[in-house]
Amino acid sequence: MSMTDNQIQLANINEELTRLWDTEQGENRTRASLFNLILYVQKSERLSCFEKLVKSVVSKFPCRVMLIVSDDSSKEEYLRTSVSSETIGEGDLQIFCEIIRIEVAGSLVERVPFIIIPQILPDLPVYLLWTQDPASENAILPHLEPVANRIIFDSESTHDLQEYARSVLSLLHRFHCQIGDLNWSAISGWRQIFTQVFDTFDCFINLVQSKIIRIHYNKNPSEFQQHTEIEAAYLQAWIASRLNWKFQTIEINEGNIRLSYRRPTNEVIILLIPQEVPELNPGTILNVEIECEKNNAHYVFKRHPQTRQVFIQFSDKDHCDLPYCSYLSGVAEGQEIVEEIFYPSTGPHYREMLDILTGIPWKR
Amino acid sequence: MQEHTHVIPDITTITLDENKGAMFQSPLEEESKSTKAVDPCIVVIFGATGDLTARKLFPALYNLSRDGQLPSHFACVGFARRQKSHDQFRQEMHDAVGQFSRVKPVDENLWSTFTNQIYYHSSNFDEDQGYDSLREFLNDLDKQLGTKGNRIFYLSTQPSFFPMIIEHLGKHGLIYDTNKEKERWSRVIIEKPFGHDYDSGVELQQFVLNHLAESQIYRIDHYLGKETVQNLLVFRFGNAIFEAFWNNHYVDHVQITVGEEIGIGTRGAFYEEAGILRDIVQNHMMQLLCLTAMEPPASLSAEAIRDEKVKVLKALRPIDLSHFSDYVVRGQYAPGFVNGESVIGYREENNVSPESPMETYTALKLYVDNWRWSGVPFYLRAGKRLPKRATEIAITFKEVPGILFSQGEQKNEHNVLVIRIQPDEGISLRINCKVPGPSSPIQPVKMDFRYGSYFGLTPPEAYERLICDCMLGDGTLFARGDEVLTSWKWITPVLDRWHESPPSDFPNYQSGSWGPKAADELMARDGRAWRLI
Repeated sequence: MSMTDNQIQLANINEELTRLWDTEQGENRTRASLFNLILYVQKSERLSCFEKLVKSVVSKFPCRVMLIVSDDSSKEEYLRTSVSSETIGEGDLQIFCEIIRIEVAGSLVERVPFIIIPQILPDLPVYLLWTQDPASENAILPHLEPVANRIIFDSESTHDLQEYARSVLSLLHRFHCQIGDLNWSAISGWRQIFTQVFDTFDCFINLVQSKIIRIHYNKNPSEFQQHTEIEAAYLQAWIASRLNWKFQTIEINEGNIRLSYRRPTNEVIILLIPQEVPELNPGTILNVEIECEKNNAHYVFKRHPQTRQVFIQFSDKDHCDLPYCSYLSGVAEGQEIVEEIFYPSTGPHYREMLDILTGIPWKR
Repeated sequence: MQEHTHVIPDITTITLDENKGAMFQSPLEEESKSTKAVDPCIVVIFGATGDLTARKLFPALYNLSRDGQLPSHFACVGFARRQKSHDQFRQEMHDAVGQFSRVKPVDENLWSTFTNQIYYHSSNFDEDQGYDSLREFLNDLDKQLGTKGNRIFYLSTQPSFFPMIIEHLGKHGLIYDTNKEKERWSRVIIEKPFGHDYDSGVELQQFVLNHLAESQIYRIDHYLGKETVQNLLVFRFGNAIFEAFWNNHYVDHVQITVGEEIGIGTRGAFYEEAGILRDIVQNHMMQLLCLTAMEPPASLSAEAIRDEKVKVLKALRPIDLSHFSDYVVRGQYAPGFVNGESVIGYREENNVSPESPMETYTALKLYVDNWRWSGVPFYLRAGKRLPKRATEIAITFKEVPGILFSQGEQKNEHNVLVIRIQPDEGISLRINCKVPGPSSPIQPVKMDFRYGSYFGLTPPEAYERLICDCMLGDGTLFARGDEVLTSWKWITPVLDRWHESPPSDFPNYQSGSWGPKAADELMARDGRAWRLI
């Protein structure tokens, strides 16, 4: 992969892209894009991680990238543009992709949509990865939403999951495009395993009559991910929404989060328990344990630290089944963006999960 | 944003007694997501020591397991004559997966769990005791693994064993009566060929239906599991622009090619019985023809799609035997060069007679006599030892009137829409374009869509999709009995004619060439030529 950076005048983006192509084109090189990828990032420790993410997406899927780096904390006002290229592949088939980078601070942010929109390649899908709290931005998102085919949010960016859920729900009603969510994607394997395990009425009724659910997640924060409990929070909210449980209380004690829900005949406690497993990505769900009322049924789901295997064991007062193995389907950790780009977007389950989250005062 | 109308069922009102045995739709299952739960089951592979099991079936099961698509409660039992232990069989399958899986190397962590779901059962196919002990073994596995009595029997044996195995499965209670059993299911996957001509196909069909309901039979044609073949329906009926041109008003002709650079390899004995017409045309090529020519189905249900395919086969004009050579060409490869390497001819291959009359190449011209395709010829060619491996469907559109852009004798090229099935799956469209400059020469250019470039991910192997569909009870990508028989009905007169008049000019094409001269002449008589692929 090669990369070149050129700081340029705003009016010259197209000329600079053409000049770049003229300089780099070769016999086996094609200038190609499969889609437009617009990425909005705040200038922070997470920026370098998103830059890596862009490279990893471009290395697999040639696309035109438009990277917006906004600095809300800057006292200086600026708007800088540069273009660069990525060349994928070697030998007979090399694909040349373009990256437009816009760095902005202060009131100049209002101009950004008007720089981006003319650069969108027509007739190709537009994916907008919005890594900022959607509730806190009004200058760019409303302008880009009408041109986007899909907006992918990253709940990691929020400081208040309750407010985030409210904002996204409201956007779901207002926006015409599809909505994705990186953390929702990240738990798709767990959702599928639950669907498989509780696929008969007898098993499902055990889940309905849960007493305590313990979800262990990987604390071990990184520059990219500070709010490591989000996947666990999503999973518990999804379960609660599917089972019509009503949220009652939340307590945070020494890092453990205790949520209580009301179901028709009793109360259910869900505990989110942090653990440190350096081999796995921050936030990854490690184990789930479910204690049920009926026959003291007990389920344990234990994730293998190196693979995507999950070992499942069921027991009740009369039986103790041998553990068996299932697999977390979907893309590998860290590749959720790929899943979000190519696969069906969020549906009713996501909305209903957000509904639950809007009721939980989760301020961190 | 569309308002959603999803309603969560009031599970608090459900009581256990009311619902036992009822169809249960889990609220955890999400519509429009491919998270449909696969029933727990055991797959029993007959012919477990054969090539297909090692090259395709186990790699497919392993990859399904990698992708989390196997049910949590699952086992696979190999059934074959040779004596061996579970562990020997597991080791052999480990090696096979290592060699043939699309994802390499084998993930040993995954394998350490997957291997515990693999078992081996040794018996002759005609031995009653072997089936009794199999039934008991499977019942024990049900208790140990929670596989709930659900069974898939995969017949990966020589076709002559199909009736024997099916009869024994029925006799020993391994096939469930679909009218009585609602809680558990049994399904049988049958590899091609299903019969060797129309009469034998009918006979086999009648035999099979004495033991199985049609809904329990999954006649596998692995072409239907290929992503690009499945995409044909999406391409045709999910895009507004193509269907308008997909008829005799705009289409000049259609070419379907299945070319292979390899010879018959170790399949000499099989090929001496089958030939390419039975091996490739009767099944794979007829499926491609059907998907290309069929009318839009009323729905995407298995039955609706199969109904439309059968209509195409029924509309095939029978070969005019009085002008046979205008419609059918056969060939056999002679020694030659493939990829610069010298290769032997068919008659020098192992287990092949030095005077063999068996065809390794065929070209056919046929017509689909219905409203849409009246007068449009479909040219089919399939061959071994051609210059390259290529399977494609090419729709050649009619010429525009040559008034504006023709230069002297030179005419505009036809527009050609090519659907590449393998390799390099994709779709391309040839269009005419003005060369930049003051004069106006026209040059054809190609717009190209490649699956690999766009979606990046390695598509699953056909067998993965098909085995998974069988577990889900979805027969859409499997051939129905009447499809197979209607195809045999059209093919059999060609086989009979060939049988009556053995070829005098075999071998008639050099390995590494695009087939016999007669095939080019068949096209030339119509003023056309085979595409250079």
